[in-house]
Amino acid sequence: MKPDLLSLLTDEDWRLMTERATRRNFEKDGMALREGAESRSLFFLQSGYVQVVRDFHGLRLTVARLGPGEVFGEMSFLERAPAMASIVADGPAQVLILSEQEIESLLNSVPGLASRLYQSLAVTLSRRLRRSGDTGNESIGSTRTARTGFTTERQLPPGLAQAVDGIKQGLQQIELQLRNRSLPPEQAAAAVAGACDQVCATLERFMRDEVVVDAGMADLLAFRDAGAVRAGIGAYIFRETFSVLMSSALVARAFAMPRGFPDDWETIAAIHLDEPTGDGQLGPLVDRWFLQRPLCRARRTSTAAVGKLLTSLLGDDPAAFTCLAAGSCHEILELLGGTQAGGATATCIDLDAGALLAAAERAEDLGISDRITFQLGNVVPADNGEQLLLPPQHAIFAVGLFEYLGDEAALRLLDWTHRQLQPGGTAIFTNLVEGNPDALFMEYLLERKVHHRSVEAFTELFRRSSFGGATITADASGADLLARARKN
Amino acid sequence: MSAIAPGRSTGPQLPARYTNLDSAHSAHGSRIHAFGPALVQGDPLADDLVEYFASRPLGGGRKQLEQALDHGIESVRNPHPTLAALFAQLDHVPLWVDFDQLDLGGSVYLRLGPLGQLALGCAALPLAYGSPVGVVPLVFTGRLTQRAFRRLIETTHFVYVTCKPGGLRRHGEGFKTTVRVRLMHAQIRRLLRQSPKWDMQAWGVPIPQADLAGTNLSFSVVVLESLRRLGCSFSSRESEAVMHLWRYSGYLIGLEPQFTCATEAEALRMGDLIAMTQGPPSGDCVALTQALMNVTMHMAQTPAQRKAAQQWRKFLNGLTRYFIGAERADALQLPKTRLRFALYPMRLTVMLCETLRRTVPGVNTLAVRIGSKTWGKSIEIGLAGVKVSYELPEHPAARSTH
Repeated sequence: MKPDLLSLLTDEDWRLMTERATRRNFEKDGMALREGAESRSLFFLQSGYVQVVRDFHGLRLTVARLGPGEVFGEMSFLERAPAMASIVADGPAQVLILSEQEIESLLNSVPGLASRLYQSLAVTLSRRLRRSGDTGNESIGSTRTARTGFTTERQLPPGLAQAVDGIKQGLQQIELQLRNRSLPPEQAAAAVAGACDQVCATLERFMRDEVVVDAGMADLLAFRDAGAVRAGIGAYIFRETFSVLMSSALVARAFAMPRGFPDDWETIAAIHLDEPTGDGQLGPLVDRWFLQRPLCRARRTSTAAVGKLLTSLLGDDPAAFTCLAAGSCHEILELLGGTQAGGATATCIDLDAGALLAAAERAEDLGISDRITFQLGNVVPADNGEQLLLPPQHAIFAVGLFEYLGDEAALRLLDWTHRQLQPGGTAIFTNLVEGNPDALFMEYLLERKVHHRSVEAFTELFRRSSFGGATITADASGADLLARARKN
Repeated sequence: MSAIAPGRSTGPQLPARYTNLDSAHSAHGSRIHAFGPALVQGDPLADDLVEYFASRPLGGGRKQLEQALDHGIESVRNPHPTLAALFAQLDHVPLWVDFDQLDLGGSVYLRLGPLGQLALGCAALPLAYGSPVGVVPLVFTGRLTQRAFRRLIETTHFVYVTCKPGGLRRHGEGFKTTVRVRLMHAQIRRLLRQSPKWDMQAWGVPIPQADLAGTNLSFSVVVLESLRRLGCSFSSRESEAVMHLWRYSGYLIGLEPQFTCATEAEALRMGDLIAMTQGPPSGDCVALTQALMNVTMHMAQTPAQRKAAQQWRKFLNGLTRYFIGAERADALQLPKTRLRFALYPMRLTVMLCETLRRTVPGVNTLAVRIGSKTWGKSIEIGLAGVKVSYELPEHPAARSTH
């Protein structure tokens, strides 16, 4: 089989190359190429799957997966440099290996082969570069913009400043009482929670349609759209409450997005840990409040619900599960670390090498690292058709991913998921629900671009995908939806 | 069921607000089909421009607008096509415009002084507030009744700068104010269209051509008719000049030529058509009209002033009933008063003054001068030093007086 990526080669070129190539079969975990090896050969994967694996301080991280028809070893061949990664069979795989000497011999004897081969390799590299560069996810890698200049002073709704001042004064009072030790901790926690709830209520109150229209009309010649007015109101509340909210470790982390994307593994880990922390008198109390908000509860309850579903899918045959945007890989580690997992294996895919390495370390501790592949990569298929490859899976799932995808990217992901599942395989995905009580807090105070979806909209997404439909249920927190779809 | 349903004609789908079409058809024939599109048509030139301005940084659009208004479109560096297109229309003076006639129309308005303001407040606006859909943009703000006084003063200011000599000439204050109000209308349209609560099927486009036409004739024929009922007299040249003034104002505010009125007869026909097809007043119409009647209370500080203001409210209620008729007044829940007995001497006094003005040389000029000062002073007191902002300009659908 001539690799698709070498389509510029003629059939005669390919026949000559295969005649001189060595055919090798690998079993699972068989090493086709070792990181650092001085290989100058080209490898053509004829059947099966291989992982491109790199070593990070003794922990193995899969940076790509290749399937039938793909080429590897081309960078070492071109650069005459040691292999940058190991190639490990993901199961039974057959590889054609063409040594440097054979290639040189062919290039010298077949007219035009050199330009056709090098051009083919250039196309291969270009596609891989494109694959790694296109995140397909509007939230990832985004930078913050200055939050000024949305509205004029006249467009701030009447009563907004007083409402926010009231909250701030209340919090200052609590802080003072805490310093004086005149307020019992539980009362202080309740008071802080009440004040923080007021921040959310103020957002709700001043983002109401009629208030926004009224504010827009207060200075018509400013020519500000409703969106700009909302952004202006949100920016005002953000600025005024920043110092208090950011004293919570979790809120500060959720806002700062230190890994460059929302819901990074440490944020999710902190939500699961559910141990309030923060700076000053108020920080831990604000943290405690945030940990009990529907958003955080949704992350915990959805994770538990997905874990239950995955457990129900375990059967006599070893199952293969894949977690997308895996982050802390909480669900997989819980599942495979449990007693019911049997011979189940899993792949955890994430953009964040740090997250995967932390999870790999935990897998080592649990003694299950040989059953989990930690793969670095973007799970959202790029709109140019380039995407990750997986061997057929029993289940593919993600918690807290879909809300960061627009409809088109979400559809591409669903279709890709459908292709990666074996017949009868299951897809499980969550999406924050329209009407999530924390929606405004997320958008205007945490600066998240979130696609909340109604049950109908989430159902429609699956209906438009290769799945053709899904069962959607609301999770216990009331902030999240859980979709389950089966590949027929 | 109506035999003539909205959307029945071959034109665009008409909103449900266009009602009572069978009766309207009996009275106005095929005009109801010609007027229908006015409910779904905004002001494309201004709408396109505010869309562009919305994409500019805060203050950028206003700056370009003021530059073009004050120094001409040629002074704007690389003007956006939408800005150039609007000013091409504004800078083009239609062939029918006669600036001397505009000044005459303005002077007629100004010489009426407080009587003109009473006609605005007790005829033009209450008729406009009787439009159940026309008041919806005010309802959207959630502060339907709170800005009644401010709206009255800003409307008065708009009329005043329009009527001042040279007001509608290219660099006149009336011209600039009209253009600003036009863009405010466009911005309101834009904001309301972005609201999920705006019911396009029921209400059509926010501030459509129909409402602009209604506003326009409320300033022209409604005021003329009301003041005649109060004893004022206008020569045919004067009334034609008033109509001419507001026809050009309509052109500048974005009214399509087919919806402007050159004569009182045209305006009365259109007013009647609007009145017949807009439906009965809603609760919001009632609340808004009540707020308008209460504006004098706004300025009362002391108990004595409040007592006087209450008397004024009775007077305004009575005068409004007299201007718009008992049927409409009842629909707007305006209380009956005994003012009608006081109106006869008032009418007699006005008629005497009018006779003096017409017959004694120099009195007309004096009337214009005093009337103009009265307009200016009222606005100055009403604004109390606050700059005119036209927070929510009026865009009522007026009806002809009965």
